[in-house]
Amino acid sequence: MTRHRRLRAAIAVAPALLLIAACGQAAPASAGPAQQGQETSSSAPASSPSQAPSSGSSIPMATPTPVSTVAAPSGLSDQQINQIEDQLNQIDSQLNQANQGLASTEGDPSQ
Amino acid sequence: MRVRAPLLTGIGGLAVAAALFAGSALPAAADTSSPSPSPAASPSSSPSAGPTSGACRGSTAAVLACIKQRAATAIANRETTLQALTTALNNSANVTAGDKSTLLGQIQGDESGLSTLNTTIQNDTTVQQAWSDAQTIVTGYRVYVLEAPKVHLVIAADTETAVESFLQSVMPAVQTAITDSNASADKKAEAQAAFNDCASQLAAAQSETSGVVGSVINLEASGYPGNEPTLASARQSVTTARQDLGNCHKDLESIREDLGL
Repeated sequence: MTRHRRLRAAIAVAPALLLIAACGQAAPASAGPAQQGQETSSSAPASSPSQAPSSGSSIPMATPTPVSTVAAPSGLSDQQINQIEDQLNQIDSQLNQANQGLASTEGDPSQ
Repeated sequence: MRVRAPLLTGIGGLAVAAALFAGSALPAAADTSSPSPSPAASPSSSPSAGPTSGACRGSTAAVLACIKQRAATAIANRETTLQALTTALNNSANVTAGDKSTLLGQIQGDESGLSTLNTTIQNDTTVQQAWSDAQTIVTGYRVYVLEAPKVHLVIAADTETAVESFLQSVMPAVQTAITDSNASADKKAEAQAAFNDCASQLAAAQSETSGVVGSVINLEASGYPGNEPTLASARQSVTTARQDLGNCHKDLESIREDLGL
């Protein structure tokens, strides 16, 4: 029975250890808003020193923080603000070209 | 007797001459005192097609060749511009399908017409006929002063409409963010003022933009210069709307800063 208890305790702790090891390497990547539970799919060995959490904490955050490309609480992300700016620049470009045409001398009797 | 072309009488002829040769090294039209083209030629004049700028001079054959050469160049230049307009329309992500189709149809019509006109001019056998046909390069198409500005104004107006639609769609979320923000009362008040200004600027832009496309998209060369004020008015509307949208854009950035987002 004692051996069984030890075995059951080890089984119960193993996922948590795996989760800690996986989070330690998934958090710095910040490739996107990973969902909870994805971290456990990592199969990279935990022995690499580069995979250790850089925060110094032995307990990584279970919930990843959102990246900046996700819509901000204001309803506008950086990407959307930049998109508006790009479109305003396009308008400027078209206006400049229209102005060049309207200022041209074709049909101007004074030329 | 020396032949000089263009040799048109009246201010209309002068205008067309100047227009035709603008930027395309066609004959100058400074000499308004010259009579109508004469088939007579100076026996001592150069047989070449003439200089690349200034009046075509020399024998009748030389003047005719000069007109043909410069007309071909003028048409080629306009076809290059029309191709650039086609590219601009195809590259625009915001021009509406209907506007794009209408303008591409007009451009293709111009390209086809100019190509046919070039063939006609190259087959002309008299100076007077060649010169008369060459005027149509300007009067029949108005590529530089009408078609090009028209296309660019439509693209600009459609792009403004796209920006306005997007801003309209996000404004409720921005208002909610201000209302729910944990920022200080002062910052929230600043953000709300910026929001109100943005909403006002957006409404003004929408008012300016609406009607621009409809006012210019079907303007024709035959109506020029009578329709020039319509183009100028459209340009002013697009310019004003652009300024309004720029102000709204700044307001949104200010709101994000006020709320610490």
